[in-house]
Amino acid sequence: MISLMLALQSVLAAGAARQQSVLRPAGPQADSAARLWWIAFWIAAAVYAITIGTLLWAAWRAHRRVRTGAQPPSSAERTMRRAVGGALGVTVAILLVFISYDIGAGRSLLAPSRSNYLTIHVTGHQWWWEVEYADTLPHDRVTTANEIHIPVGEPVRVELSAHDVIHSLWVPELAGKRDLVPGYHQAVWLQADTAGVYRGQCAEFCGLQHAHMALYVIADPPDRFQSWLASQRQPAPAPGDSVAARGLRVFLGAQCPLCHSIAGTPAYGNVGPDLTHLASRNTIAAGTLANTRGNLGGWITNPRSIKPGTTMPPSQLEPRDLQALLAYLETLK
Amino acid sequence: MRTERRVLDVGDLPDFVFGHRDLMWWGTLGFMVIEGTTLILAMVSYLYLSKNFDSWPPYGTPEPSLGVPIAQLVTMAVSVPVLMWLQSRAQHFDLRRVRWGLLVATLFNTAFVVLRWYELAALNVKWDTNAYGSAQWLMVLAHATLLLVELLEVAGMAALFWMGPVEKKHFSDVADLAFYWYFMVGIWVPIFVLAYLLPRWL
Amino acid sequence: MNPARRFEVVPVQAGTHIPVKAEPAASREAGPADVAELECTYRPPTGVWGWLTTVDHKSIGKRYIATAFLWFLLAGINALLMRLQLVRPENGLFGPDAYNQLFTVHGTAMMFLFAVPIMEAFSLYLVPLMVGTRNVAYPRLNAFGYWVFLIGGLLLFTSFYLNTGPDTGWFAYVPLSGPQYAPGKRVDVWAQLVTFTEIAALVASVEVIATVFKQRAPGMKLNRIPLYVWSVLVVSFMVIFAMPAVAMASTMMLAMDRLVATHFFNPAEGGDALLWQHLFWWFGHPEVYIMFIPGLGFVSEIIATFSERPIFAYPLMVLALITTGVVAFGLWVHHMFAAPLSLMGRSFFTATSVFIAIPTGTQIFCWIATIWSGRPRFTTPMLFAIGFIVVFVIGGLSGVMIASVPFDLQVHDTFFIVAHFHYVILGGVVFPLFGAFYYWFPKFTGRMLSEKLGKWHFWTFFIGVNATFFPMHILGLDGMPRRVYTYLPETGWGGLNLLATVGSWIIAVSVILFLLNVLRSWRRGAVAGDDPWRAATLEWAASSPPPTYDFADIPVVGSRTPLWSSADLPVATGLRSDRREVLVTTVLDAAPDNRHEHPAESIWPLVMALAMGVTFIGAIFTPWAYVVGFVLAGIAFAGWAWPRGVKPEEQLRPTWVDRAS
Repeated sequence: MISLMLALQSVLAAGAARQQSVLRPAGPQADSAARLWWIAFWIAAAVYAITIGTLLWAAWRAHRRVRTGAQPPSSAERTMRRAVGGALGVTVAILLVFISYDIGAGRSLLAPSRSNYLTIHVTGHQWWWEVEYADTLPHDRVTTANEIHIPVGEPVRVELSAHDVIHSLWVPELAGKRDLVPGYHQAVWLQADTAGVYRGQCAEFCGLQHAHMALYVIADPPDRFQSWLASQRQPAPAPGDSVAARGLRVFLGAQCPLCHSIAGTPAYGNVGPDLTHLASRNTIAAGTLANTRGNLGGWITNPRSIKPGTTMPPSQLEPRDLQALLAYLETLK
Repeated sequence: MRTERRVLDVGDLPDFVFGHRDLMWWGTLGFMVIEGTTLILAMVSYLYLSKNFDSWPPYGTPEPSLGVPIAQLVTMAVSVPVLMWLQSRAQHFDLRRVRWGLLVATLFNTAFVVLRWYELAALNVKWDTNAYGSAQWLMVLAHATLLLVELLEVAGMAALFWMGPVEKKHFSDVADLAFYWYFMVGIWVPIFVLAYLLPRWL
Repeated sequence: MNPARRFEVVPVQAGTHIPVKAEPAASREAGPADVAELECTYRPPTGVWGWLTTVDHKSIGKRYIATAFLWFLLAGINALLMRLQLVRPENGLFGPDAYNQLFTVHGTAMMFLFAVPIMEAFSLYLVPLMVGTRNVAYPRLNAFGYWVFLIGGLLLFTSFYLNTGPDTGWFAYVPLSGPQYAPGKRVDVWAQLVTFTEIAALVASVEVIATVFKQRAPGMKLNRIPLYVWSVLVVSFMVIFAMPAVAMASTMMLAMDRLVATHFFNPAEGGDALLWQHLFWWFGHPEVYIMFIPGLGFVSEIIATFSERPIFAYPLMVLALITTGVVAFGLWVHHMFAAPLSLMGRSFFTATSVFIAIPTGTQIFCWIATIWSGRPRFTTPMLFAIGFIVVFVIGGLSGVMIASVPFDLQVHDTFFIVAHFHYVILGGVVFPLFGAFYYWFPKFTGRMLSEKLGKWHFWTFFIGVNATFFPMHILGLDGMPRRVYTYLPETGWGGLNLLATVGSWIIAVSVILFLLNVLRSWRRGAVAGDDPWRAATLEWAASSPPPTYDFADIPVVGSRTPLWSSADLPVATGLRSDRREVLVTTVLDAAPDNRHEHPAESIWPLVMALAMGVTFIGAIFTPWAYVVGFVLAGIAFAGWAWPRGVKPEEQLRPTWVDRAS
């Protein structure tokens, strides 16, 4: 029986989406929630089948009695009292079982007992994620956007704050969501037990582009993670050729530095995402587009055609300037 | 249509009564509960917001003054026995005394409203200074709406008793008015404590 | 039966007062009411003036139901459009601004303008008939409540069709709905919409409580009132304790933050974004039970009638209703599990949210027992009652699941939640509501709805609801958040969204079938007679439709099922026919206590509602509207309250009174 249920379960789970699915847990919290789901699902299915089955059976029985002219049994009242009382008792018992299991599952939400852990600050903006890797040395802090890299197998503490309105950080395959509320700080623990790329999405309605506020959590083996972190700590390289140099001049001369920063250049705007390592990211515009030259060019030219309502204004760049800018941005690995 | 079978005759029942036997009393009670719930929620919100501050009032905001609020409390306290007298006169259908009592009640209510205006200033903070100020104004102004609505009622009732066609049931309405008065005054006491005393104690 | 009693007048001291005594009933022989005179006393003015001034709870109830249903249709069209936008990934039918207005107005209208008001409207029609009186306790207040409701609905939909509809969701979380991130007047429209509907709801609740407590038929003790009346009584108390929270939060706090720069929700000045959530959900959770509990009442009446026996275990059913109503106030934080709150606190709300399944489950078990031991007839109302159980229990079970914090943290704000609440709302509110339509339509109009069309309606609705919302459970588990105007193709959500959209068309077809049924049957349906269903409760003793005065003589009851207990109708005579009198009885035992005169038609409720309209719509733009409004309300109040039609012999003249008094 159990193996039949488990088999059915894996069939159902296999139909789950390829990404961002609650039923494909890759971390302990998501795993705990998924297990709770399956227990609850089977209990609910059984309760439903029995309740509706009894309802339909009762209706059919009584209807048959009406047709044959029979009377309900003389002990009907007593039978019903016992049945209702029994059903109530069973209901209470099932609910108590559910609550007990839930308390156990709730333990997964508590902080793990560790003394040293990675801390990441995530700040929600309309409509992108600011990600900062904390460090006691300011020089070693890393600022990026819309992508969080973590080492596999370790719990990572993510501290959440909001810049403008309420957002919610949700990476279903790793953990449940937590709201980012202006005026409040709360922390969530993320842990991935398998290396991979996990998609998440803002889960609290935050305005016009709530639908396009995704992020990626990339879990790497510890050494790959450390090398990523080390490269992120570097400032942007100086432009290698004349096209890239022209691109940097275009960047600095246009409105870009008002909002964006590139470490190692005079641009230090902090309204929009940090672009120092833009080319190392897989997506742009908070997970909306793949990070290709064509997409980036289209985004820079007219962001509002892709994300209507976004703060980033369109730009009027000459085609050669745009190409130079794109060439420069491609060097920001 | 089913045949009717007469089993009861209610023709000699009175057609005016006082207190909870009267249908209108229940409407008054209903509105008291609604308004009371609203004011309690305003008080709870005030207390909730206080957790966001290290000091109450916040640093830089002066404490409320007590002079006018105490005068208001005294005026309200004095009005209560007057309204109790008015209620009793109404229950005795004493038209002449009820007329004068309603005028006095109107004066009291006007005094409440005027004093309330100065009580707002006595808060020593504006509604848009900070959340403390907003919460203070909310409680005090929300209660002020009770005073204003009751002023309309008592003035209207006074006008009716002096100028209009008075019926027996209007005496019951006067008694209900007194009932509401006690609530209006009573619910002010915890608000007074929260608005004018708490910031001075903390 | 009690013998005729004589009641003393209110005792007064001799010599110091104007002597008063009960007005004797005109032409006082102890006989039944003079029906012709009653007809004349209650005859409303004709034409438009009659329509504007009516105080008849049945007229008001019917138009209230029709208006609420209109908002349902309009909000439903929003839903069809939303589903069209989501039918495939990256669809371009609506941009984010239009879509945000679509879903906000859909939710706001369904919750504030349809679900609660239509339940209230039914209660305003049915309660006086079911408890055996002639009208609700405050007839003019009732009219006022309807006009205020109408103004609110017009405000919302006019704004929406003019592209200034609210767009921050039906619960308008701050700071998104605050002055900084929601410029313009859209959210102010929302805040005042809440004001209008909240006033209407509170009015209806006061009416129900006063009518049920004080105007019941003699002998209808509290433990003899119909289960439906219990359900709306419980709900009326809930409204009184819940609605002020949202009214205060929206009108007094959010609107003020936006209009006059208060800082209730501004963290920079000590305000708090979570204060909004606490206040809103303190209202919001009871709100969904306010919608749902009257449906439970409908189902009890329908199942009893069509099983030809009273509902099993009446005291347990009443206890279940009261428990549900009370416990509903202890659940609100389960809407905030993802917010920064203490983990310990959350567990309490898990427990209460799970616990509330018990009283509802109890009712379901009692209904099953009733059907089993009864003689069921599967008419359309009965199908909807059974369909309610089949659909609602799915929503109830998913509700227990999301009471768990770890699980809710995964599915909160996803389409799993959308599935859950549509199952409990469509299952728990709309199925019983359609059942109630089919059941009481004959009483309202004197004609039967078509059973054949009714069954088609039922089955298409049943299939449509499941086809639309079951896939959404899966979409939520697949990671699809709520309130997104589009989604990327690589998410894989397109297939199930397509299925849901097709399901929505099936629902639309079923609603069209219902409208056709109503339109056809209104004038040409089979004539119903007083009691086509052979039911037990008092409303079926009146004619279909009932006369303006409901009952010529007030019924007297001796059981929970008066029409099944005796073939004739025991009545109490003695109320005057030359004025609109109702019998006021005691709260617990419904012993006759006094007679009360109800007012006749009046234009002042409409005038007062217009004054409220000017005030609160003006308040969208300026706080000075409250000052102007106060003056207008004062004028309307004077008109309303000033006595008219007082006969000279009833007026009192002052006399000098003894000093000793």
